[in-house]
Amino acid sequence: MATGPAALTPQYIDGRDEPWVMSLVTEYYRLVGCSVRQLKRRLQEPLPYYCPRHKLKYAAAALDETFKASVAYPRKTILALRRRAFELSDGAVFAGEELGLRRSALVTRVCAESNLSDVSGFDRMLFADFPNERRLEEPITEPCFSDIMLAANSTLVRRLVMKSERIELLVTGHVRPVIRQAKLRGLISTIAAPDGQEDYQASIGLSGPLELFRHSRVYGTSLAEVVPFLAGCDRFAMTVVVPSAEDRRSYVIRNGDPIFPKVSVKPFDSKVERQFARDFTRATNDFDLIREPKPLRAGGSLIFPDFAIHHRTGGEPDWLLEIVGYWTTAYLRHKVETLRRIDATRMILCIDERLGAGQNAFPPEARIVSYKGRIDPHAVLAAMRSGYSTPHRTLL
Amino acid sequence: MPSRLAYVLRMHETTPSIEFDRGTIIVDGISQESAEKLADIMTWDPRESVWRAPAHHYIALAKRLRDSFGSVRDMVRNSETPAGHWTSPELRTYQEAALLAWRSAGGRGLVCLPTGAGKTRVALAAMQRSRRATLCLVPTRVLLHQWVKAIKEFYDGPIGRFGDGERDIQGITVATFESAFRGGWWLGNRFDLLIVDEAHHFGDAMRDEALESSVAPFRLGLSATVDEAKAGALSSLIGPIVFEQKLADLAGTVLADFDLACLHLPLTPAERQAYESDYGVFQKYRTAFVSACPNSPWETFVRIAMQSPEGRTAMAAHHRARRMLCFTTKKRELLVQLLDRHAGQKKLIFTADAATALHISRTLLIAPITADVGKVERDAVLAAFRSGKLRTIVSCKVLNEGLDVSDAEVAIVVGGSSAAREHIQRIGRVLRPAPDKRAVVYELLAADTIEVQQSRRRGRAFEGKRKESYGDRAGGANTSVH
Repeated sequence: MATGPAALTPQYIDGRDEPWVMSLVTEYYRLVGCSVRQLKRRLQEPLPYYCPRHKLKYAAAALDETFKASVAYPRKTILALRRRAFELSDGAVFAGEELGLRRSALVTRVCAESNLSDVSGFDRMLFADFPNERRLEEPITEPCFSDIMLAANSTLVRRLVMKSERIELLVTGHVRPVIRQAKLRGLISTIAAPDGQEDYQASIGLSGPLELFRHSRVYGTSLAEVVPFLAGCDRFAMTVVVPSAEDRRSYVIRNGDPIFPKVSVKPFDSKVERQFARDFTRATNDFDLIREPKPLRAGGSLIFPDFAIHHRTGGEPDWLLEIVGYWTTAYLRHKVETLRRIDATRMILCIDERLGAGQNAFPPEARIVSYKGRIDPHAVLAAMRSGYSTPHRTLL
Repeated sequence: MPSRLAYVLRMHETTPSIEFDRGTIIVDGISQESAEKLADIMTWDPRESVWRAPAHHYIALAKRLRDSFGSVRDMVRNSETPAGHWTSPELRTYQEAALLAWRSAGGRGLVCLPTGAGKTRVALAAMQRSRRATLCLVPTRVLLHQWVKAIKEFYDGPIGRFGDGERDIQGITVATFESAFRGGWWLGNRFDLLIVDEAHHFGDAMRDEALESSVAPFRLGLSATVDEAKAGALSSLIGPIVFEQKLADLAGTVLADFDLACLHLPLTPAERQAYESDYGVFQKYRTAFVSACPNSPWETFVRIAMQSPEGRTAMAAHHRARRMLCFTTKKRELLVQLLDRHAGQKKLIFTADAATALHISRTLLIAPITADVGKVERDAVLAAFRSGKLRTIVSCKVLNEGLDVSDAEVAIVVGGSSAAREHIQRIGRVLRPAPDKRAVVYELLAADTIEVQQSRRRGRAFEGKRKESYGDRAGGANTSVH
């Protein structure tokens, strides 16, 4: 993990920036009622106070969320007005010298036909639904500096990650949701026990398949979508490797950095998990389902099961269950070999048929339950009872 | 052990296999020694302990493995033959020649035809004759719907849409570049033929992943103009240029002939003063920068300028000057006169930015087509234009590429960039053929400003056609055209 002297800390907005950020808020208040286009133009011009340009865009992005741009008229009315105005005017308005007079007469007619009493509102209404013509609204609650700071810094980190070629994580506590989210988004995650980092539970590398050949921005969004899940971890250090024209830069983001507006750990990572947990507890009274059991060590890497299935009487060892995201035949073969190597005989893999790229059958020795959208708890119970030689179901 | 099972097991041990994985191909079952012989085409991926190759090398990889091992277990392609029936599109002689050239090149290559010459028709014929699972890539949402409509004329099966909020994949699917870029890694093995409309958008590594993550062995690129600088990259992604016809080759025969008038319009004294003042501020900063960093590209200049208060002031002045030139008083006056003069004909007005398009639309009550206009409204405007209910449309960039605005006769370029491609595409909009048609293109330029240089740069392809006109009065300027 690149946390050496070359690693940089992102230039967050912090307490020192409060004066100019609050002046920017005043500027937004001045523009309430104006169009988004006017706001954009204003932000292009130099502002009357010093503000670091690279921070301004993030603060402005945060304020754009606070000062919503709204459409002041019903969209249906706007569309009807536009259609009628253009139909009536085509070829009529610009014929002849008295352009202004003709236009006024036509606008009056369109307004009368559209039951619009305020003729002077025609121009404001004509494109009122276009994103750049929407009007800034005053926020319901007055924005405070700390909220703007957190939102702006989150945007900064998000954009940094979107430009990155890979991220490297050292994590402790609630690791599994991070890995699961990465897999669901088609990223390759390498998971290992951290080398010489006693404070952390796992070292995770996240990148996309094409990254092997060249830097690609395809995975930027997926990588950025994983970041909010770090908020639920007890402790993390994320190194973001961003290629530039000359070289690569590494930025380190840690827990405690001012980036997460609020921490909310969802009880389940996906709908499939939530449904399975509900269905399984209904299907049997003999077993308890335990979320996020301890990871299994497999040589230098770690395996994070989604559930442990614990027998209530405690008469037999726990079963482990993993819901596999995107998979290929080669991946499954590798997974099954790893499980066999570490003697994890009581592991069930649940595989979504729709997320598979392979056309081959499952490895015959695997304890696999395939599903389409929803895992059948009875199939899992059957897999627990069955022997290795009979896979529950094959794909093709 | 039954002999069949023994055979299968032996195959598994000795035959390499290839499998599609998220826009790449995984090679399994080969020794380190054998793999090293293929190191130019695939790479060891330590993250998953596999050999991996980019998907667009599929054919070459499979061939090399077959040559080395005799056979290969190929689990890559997952395409389904389209279920519908095709009717054969009628082709002109040069379109037939383009198709023949593409097929002779092994089904990989670029066909370069000017706007209005029927590139889509060539693609439809390629799809009809190959009858393979096809993915059509188009640059915008507007074109996605236009392509679906064009395919429907000749194909009666279901047509998938991937983009503009839809994710329906069928044997024949149309996708926007952006959606294919984001979702190519899981679509990559489902199509055998790629049709790439406006292919010149690729080749600069910005969104090339849409093509790199596909295994499709057959690829047809369509474009009006391909930069020489990009030709190499496009050759690797799609194929070489297999057929090319320039606008000048077809104008007056297959395409309508046209007149091009460049009208230099003076600024009012107040505009001149504002322009000189703002442009002077910018020019002073720019001159200092160029003397310090000669040969630096524009992007570097902008990046550095935005880091200092003086630079930001200069850039703001530059934006003000450019905005003012977009629609000067004289341009407005002349535009009104031109619209009056061509009142009975169908006209397209092109502007430099969306704000000017909306300003013209608001002032003269002309229907706009910009990125902000929704699909339903846009379709309604285009339908009204085709039927003759509307005779004028103002647009910024949306009408530049691909969109079918068939019988427009007059183009009025109020503003634009210095890009030759944009200019060629805009002129092409009014060249769709019709009996006895002679199109007219007006370029309105603010005299003695940077617009004149920009116009010369973009208009090099039409040197012989350009008729320059200088004067205070629009009527005087126009007289020389007709």
